[in-house]
Amino acid sequence: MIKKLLMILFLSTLSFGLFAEGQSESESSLLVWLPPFATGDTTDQMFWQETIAPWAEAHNVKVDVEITPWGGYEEKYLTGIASGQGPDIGYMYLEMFNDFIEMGTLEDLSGYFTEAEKAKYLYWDQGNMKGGQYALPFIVGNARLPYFNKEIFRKAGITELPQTWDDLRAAAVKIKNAGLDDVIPFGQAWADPAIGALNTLYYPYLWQAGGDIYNKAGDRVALMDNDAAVRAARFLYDMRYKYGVIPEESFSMDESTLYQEFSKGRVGIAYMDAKAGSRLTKAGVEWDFIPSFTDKTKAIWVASDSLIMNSQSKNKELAAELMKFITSSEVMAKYHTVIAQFPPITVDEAYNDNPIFEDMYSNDTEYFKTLPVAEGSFKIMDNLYKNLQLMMLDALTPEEAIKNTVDYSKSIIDSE
Amino acid sequence: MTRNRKEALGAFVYILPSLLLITIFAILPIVMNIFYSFHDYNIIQPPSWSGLSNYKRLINDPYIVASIKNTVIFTFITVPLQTLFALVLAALLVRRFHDKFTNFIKGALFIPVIASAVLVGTLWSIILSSHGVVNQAIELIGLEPINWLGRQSTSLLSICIATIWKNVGYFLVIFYAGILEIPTSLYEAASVDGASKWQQFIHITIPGLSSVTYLVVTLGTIWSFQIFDMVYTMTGGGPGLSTVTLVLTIYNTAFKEYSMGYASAIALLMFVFVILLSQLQRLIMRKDG
Repeated sequence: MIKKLLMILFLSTLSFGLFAEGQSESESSLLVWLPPFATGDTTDQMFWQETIAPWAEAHNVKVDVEITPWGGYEEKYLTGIASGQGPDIGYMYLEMFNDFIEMGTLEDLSGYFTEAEKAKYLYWDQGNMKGGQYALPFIVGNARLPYFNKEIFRKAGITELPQTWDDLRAAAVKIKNAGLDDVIPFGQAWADPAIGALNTLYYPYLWQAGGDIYNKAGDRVALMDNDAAVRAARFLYDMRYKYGVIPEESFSMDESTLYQEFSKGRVGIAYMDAKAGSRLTKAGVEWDFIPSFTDKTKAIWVASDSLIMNSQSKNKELAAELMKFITSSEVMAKYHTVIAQFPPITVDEAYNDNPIFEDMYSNDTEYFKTLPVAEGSFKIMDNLYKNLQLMMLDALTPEEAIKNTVDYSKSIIDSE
Repeated sequence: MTRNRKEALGAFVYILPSLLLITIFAILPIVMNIFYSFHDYNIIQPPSWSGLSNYKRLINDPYIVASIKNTVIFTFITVPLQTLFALVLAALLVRRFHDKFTNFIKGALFIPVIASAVLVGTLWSIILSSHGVVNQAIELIGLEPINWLGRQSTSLLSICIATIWKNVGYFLVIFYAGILEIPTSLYEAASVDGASKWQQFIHITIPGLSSVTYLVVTLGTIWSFQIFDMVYTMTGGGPGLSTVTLVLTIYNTAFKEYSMGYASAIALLMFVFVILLSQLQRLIMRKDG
């Protein structure tokens, strides 16, 4: 009997100790989940640990930074938040927001920032979605841009960079007609498995033609609202089948293969991300770019990933303070020079991205476009990609590809 | 307590640990899956009853039709071929190369099994790319290169080839062990009676491996229905819907669309398919055996 009592006492003490430990942890600690961006010698983990340490000490807070890999990113957040093990501060991309807001997992940030603080952020308004300030834009940039191989242009006798769709078509045809050995006039990566490939394959043309994926309210697919979606699809289809400047090889390339082929000097024109610029320079490629082609307007896809605060966080005020610290011009200036080059997100940070793009990030922001935060967006965009793939394989007409997507979107949005 | 009762209780205590494990990790998830399939559920908010709406959506969803079609085609291509290759290779290893290169060949063929499917998928994407080894070989014999992953007609076949390559080593080891279990006296007697190697293979090896073959075919079928990583890496389900499979659709529905209820309905559909197919196989094999 005495043994049993002693055992119960021991277990009670132990569990109390554990419980007490957990409580004190939750009251003075913050968990931060950030994705990896570093490409140099300093890892993201090292950078954030060193950068946040003085702040944590000053605020007497234990801050744990976990670098969450891109693979299985959404699952990590979904299961983490569902199990109560999610971060106080996290990082999300636009495709994730609609559902996480609907699930009530994100905290409205507007009350934690003063008007003066809000005014410092260049993209504060982009974080306002579905009636609340659920996001603090953090990585804004890495635009998708048309790149040109200057050597191929010279050999094909092209002296001016194409500015409009007509110019683009004419330049691609000139490259094709120049009979250059093993050169792809207009490179596209139609075999990329990720729906994000549409950020270079189709969306720029859709926006440039004056169209949009969703309506303004984000509750209905707007691809059939005017002829822009079909016009953009038709343009690509014609480039493949009427003008023959998108070769068969494009249907076996992903984005990284397209970059490799461009860096080998095999591609005349291709949409790639801004990060490709410095890598191409290092690879010795003579390249140039323009921010956007023009049809009815210009349009440039830019990333707009944000910091979020978990609505389950027990230390929301502290979490907001840490978000302000992380996004301060001092920290961001260091981040943009040590970890990854991106344009500034606050008015008081100097430009630390690739100087070649400074003018674009300063003067072309009115043309910047991001993906919609809308119902069923993953499935609908996936379906759009698959229908466009079929169109480019000549199994659907441009009209059918767009109509099929809109019909499918109705079944998705109606069923939710 | 009577002796019989004591014995029964003792037996129950012995099976209790595994019974508990099976209940927790096999039966309970199935029951929960059925429960969620009748609900709108996103993991975070509590499930809300939605009746048959998930099942109604199943009927009209083009992804489901394509997923079932692709998964079945994939299964009918990969299972027979990987079984056949594994059987033939195992027989060759036992009878032809026994003790010479057996360990090396077994090891070499087993490497793809332990390699991550994502790695294998990436490697095969490179091998099958427009300038990959396969197309270079095709061009050497004067033929036009094939757009393996970018064409609807060849994309699923490409994934089948990569999967067979990955799986053969595993089934080879099972067949190899099975063949070693067959008494050598049977082969000796057959030799004395003048039976050729081929006749021995047909009349002794194959019948002697019936239970092993059943295991290999059943495992292969279940694996084929679970195909995901290779598709995710190599094609993402495209071009068009030519390579979407049931598990890819379940994954996208659950973790990209956050519709756990609907994903549960698709998972239940897949569960029923696998059960039916396994039963069909059992019937066929019993008939043959």
